[in-house]
Amino acid sequence: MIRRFSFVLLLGAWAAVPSARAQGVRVSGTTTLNYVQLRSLQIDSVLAATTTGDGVMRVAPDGTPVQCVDPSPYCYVYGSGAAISSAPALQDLQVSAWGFGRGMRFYADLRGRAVVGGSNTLWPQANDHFDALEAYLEYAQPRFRVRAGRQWDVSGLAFNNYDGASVQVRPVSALTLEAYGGWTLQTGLDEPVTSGALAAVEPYAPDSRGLLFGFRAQARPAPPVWLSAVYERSTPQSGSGLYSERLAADGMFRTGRLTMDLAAQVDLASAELNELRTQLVYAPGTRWSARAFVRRHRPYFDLWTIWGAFGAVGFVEGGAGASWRSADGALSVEGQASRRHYLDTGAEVGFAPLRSNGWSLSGSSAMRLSPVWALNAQYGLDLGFGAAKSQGGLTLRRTLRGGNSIGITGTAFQTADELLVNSGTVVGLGVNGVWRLGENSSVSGSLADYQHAGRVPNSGPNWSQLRASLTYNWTVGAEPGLPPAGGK
Amino acid sequence: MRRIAVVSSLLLGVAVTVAARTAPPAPSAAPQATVQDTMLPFPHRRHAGLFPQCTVCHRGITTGDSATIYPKYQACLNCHDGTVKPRVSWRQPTPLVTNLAFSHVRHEQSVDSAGQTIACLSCHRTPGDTSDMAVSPPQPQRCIQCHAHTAPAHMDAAQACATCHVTLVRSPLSAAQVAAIPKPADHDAAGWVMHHAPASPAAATARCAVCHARESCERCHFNAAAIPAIQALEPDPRVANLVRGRAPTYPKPASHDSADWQWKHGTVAGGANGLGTAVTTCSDCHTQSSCRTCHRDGTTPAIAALPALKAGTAYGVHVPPRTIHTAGWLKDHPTQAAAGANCAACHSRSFCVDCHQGQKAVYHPPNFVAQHASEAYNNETQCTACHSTETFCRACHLQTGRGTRSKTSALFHSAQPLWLLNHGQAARQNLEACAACHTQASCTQCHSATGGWGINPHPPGFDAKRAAANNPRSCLACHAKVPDE
Repeated sequence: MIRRFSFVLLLGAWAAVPSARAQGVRVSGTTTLNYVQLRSLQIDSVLAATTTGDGVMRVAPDGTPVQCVDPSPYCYVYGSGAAISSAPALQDLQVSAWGFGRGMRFYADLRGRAVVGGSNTLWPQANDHFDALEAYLEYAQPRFRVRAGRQWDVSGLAFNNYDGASVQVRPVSALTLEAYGGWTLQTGLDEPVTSGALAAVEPYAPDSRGLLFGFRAQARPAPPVWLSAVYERSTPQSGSGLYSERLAADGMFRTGRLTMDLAAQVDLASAELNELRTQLVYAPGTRWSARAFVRRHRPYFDLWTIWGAFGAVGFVEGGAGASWRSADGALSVEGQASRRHYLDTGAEVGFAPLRSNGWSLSGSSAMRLSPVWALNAQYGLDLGFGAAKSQGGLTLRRTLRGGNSIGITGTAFQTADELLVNSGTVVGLGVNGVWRLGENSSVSGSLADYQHAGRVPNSGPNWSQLRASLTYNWTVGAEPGLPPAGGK
Repeated sequence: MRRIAVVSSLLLGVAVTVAARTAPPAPSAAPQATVQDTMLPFPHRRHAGLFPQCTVCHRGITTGDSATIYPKYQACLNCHDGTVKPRVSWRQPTPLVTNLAFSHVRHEQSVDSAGQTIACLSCHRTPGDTSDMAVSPPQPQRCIQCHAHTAPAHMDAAQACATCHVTLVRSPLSAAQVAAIPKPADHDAAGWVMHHAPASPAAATARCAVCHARESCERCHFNAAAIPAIQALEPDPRVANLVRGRAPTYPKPASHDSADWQWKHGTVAGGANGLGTAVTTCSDCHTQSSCRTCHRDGTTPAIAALPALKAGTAYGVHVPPRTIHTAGWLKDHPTQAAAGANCAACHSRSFCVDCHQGQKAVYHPPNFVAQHASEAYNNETQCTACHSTETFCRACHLQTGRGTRSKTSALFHSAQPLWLLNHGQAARQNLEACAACHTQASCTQCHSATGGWGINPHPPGFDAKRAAANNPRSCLACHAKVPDE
């Protein structure tokens, strides 16, 4: 695996060196080395006869709460195993090459990954050493654009990639029409639905790739009005039926100080409304703004799963927030709150109901203490039927010469899961920094240690862990009309 | 003994120093001093009646002979010889170093509005004192009484400074004097800097050039080479030294403070024809660099129309990278991106991919894994926008003992003794959370028509035929045949 990862690194170097001479290639690279720790959840048992108390919840001789189900002679407790560590490395390369003719360009976003130390199963897809997240050939003219290869579909339905082609035309400057099609790739996996990675964790994974067709229209009839609609249909390559058939519409309207956005997603195949959301933002000046939203959400499931037949209901949510900053920008504060209510499931048990609502509350503040010192604070509270969390953090940052910075962060959080009880508080302390090596390269890193304090021994997860990250960013070459490190 | 010698030396030193400071300077045969370092000015009033005409002593005033503008010290000795009158220590001052274009000769030869020759006392008489030889240096106000009748005061905006002053470049002022040139009151007026441009190059020469050189303008105007009024000024090394390293302070137009300026500035700059005011107005203060701190798309016509930053010129307004997004944008951006917001104007493709590809840990805090349960359960963020429920969530949960490929231990949902009864409500409230740990086979162990307990999971009104038409294969996970068969 190291050999394959090295291959990706060499690929980056190969692409970067000639571009420095011939300005026909722009290559950006990000090398990330992480260190993570996790503890597996393990079940342990004690003799029921040695416990005190009665009923389901009892106490073991060492004080650990255990669960007992008569007539089993044993009581059980879930606890954490020993810490497992892993050091995954990721190498991302974005390559943009032109010079094949006016309007012609090749673009690729490649990723290599490998575990350079420790467990090779902790990091997602760590054993899949190479991904082409995007790789397409583009021909663009003022009125149309054609792309062929692996590309992202960014719409109200998703941010997904697919293997295929897209044709975009702009008959007038305020209207864009696009048709696209090809083979579907799974969200977040970048592999077909028949991938072995999916089959490994899902016995009912499909055996046929998905074919995708979509059509999108975007219009800007006037500068403060944006509208878009997208229709997308995915079918099995072999056999009948559908994997999905969906429609989404999004819009933004701005008038003076008021901005409104609307979003809707519909599962046409199941005749279900998955998302309906509207938000109003009032910004009377550059210093403060207020927002309010309402939302109806029902989860969407691909039709190759059986989940859609289980009658998920989702929730209705409403919320509001506001932000303010001082005239000199030295102090800014923002906060928001929301409440959601789950719809009637038809499965409630009268004498043992689950919570059917939830609250969310969050706030943050940024203070510029001096030209070089800044303090950030944030807090969040989340209460729901399945889990609850209270967490806060404080970061003190010092800006150094040349855009470099270093910071120290303290965090603390508590969780209370109704489905698996946690106890205690996890406190963390970390340092992080950014160091610019030149105009087009920088190194950033972070190191944080988290300790699970006040935890009942041997009970529930132990979230004590050490985390570190080191990232090296660089760019070579520049696209026509762009600064070398343009974009972020 | 040695200590006494040291103290004596110190006292002697102090005494010598004090004596040197208090002793009158010895008269010189040819004393030269500037006005700034001379001793008391000549006491004209104490000599009243002795000199019938100013030109007795100041003959050079009328002839232009600088050597005879002031009398010689020897003239004083005619009386102040130590016998008739005590000796004095007056020294002939050197002329003031000024930027005045004043000529005594021309004024002495001119006539005033009444046709009278201009006597010395017309300008030099001490205001309000009519006694003989009550003179003092003239004030600028006296000059404008004749030369700028409409101007209310010296250095008023209506003044043409060059009437009485030479341009700074031509002046003999020292660098310190240049730095100390007083600022006209109108320069402090609100909004002055927005409208300070002279009407013409001639106007720049008539007023601006008296205090400013070309470098004064080049400090802020990166396009100085293209502005005729600036080019009308000459360069000056004294000014160049003064402004070197001083960062310019650019004024901010009121329009830039409006609530939606960040949204509409592109329209104002671009306009319908793609250029708008970019060339005529924006370029007064902005180079392409101003835009590119945020805008990645350098091919936008309005940005391309602005001048490019050149080495050796002013930087133009530096616009620090800033967000146009309001609070809560992170959750709102899907709608904005989908609706057609021009994300690519500021962001590269990889900016989106870094988060949405879901593996680089750039979106969540470092220990998010420890606290993600509440966000997942409560849909605070939509996990599936970036992660595969099966290969990301479930794979990790299986790996760390939190997921299951088969039925669940009743003890796992430990806070819910009656979990078997109320798990249905939990599932319908957030089935995605269930799928994060359970495979579909976990459910069909009970909810299957062909095995398990045969418990029907479908909600009331479930359209089995539609489900079968959509994907008959999914029906066969639990049923022996699809509904239509």
